[in-house]
Amino acid sequence: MNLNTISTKQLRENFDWVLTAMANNQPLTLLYRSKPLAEIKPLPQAKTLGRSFSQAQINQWLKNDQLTKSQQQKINALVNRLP
Amino acid sequence: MPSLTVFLDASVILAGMASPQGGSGFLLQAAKQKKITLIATPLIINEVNRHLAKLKLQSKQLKTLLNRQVIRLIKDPEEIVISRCRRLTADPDDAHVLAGAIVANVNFLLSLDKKHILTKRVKKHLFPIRVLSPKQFWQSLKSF
Repeated sequence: MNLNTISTKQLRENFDWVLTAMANNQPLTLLYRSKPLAEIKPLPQAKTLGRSFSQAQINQWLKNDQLTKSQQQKINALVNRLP
Repeated sequence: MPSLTVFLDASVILAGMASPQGGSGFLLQAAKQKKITLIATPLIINEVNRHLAKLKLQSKQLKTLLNRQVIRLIKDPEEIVISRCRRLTADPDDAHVLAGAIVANVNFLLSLDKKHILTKRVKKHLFPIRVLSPKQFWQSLKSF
């Protein structure tokens, strides 16, 4: 997919692309039979919908959240003990 | 409903969905077993939804967590509460997370954001709500 265009098939099958583009404030041109049909762009208030996290930030969270096997076993035992 | 109530930042929900064997993943598992109550706001769920693609996750996985009430939703906090929380964080965009935890009246606020949420200032002002990472949360429960 070109970064700024999306076909009607892609729109149906990969709507997450649209959500991601809108979250990044990036308008998309909708193509129908390879010709431009419409423009999809975020509403002005969409920018205030919340925070944006970078891939590096998310990767760091995942790294910090990792547990050793021993920690996993301890937590499993702990969860089982919870009322 | 389990007595242990936990408010989740978007970072924890994303990490839990991406990595079931991480500290955040165990939170989702414990909530599925109804051992703890996990709470978030629509604003936080929106943030999670917008970042799912970065972890190759799908919206339907998030919907399942909500439909099965693994994560329970409360209303977004009022602007007046959010504005009071803005002075507590380096990034005012994080204020709604703190406000959500206050309004939800939970035992814990869990986040993986060391820079803006897991800070001394936030921990001090949100007391008696304990502001921890998921790993710290599990460590704190050892004596539970």
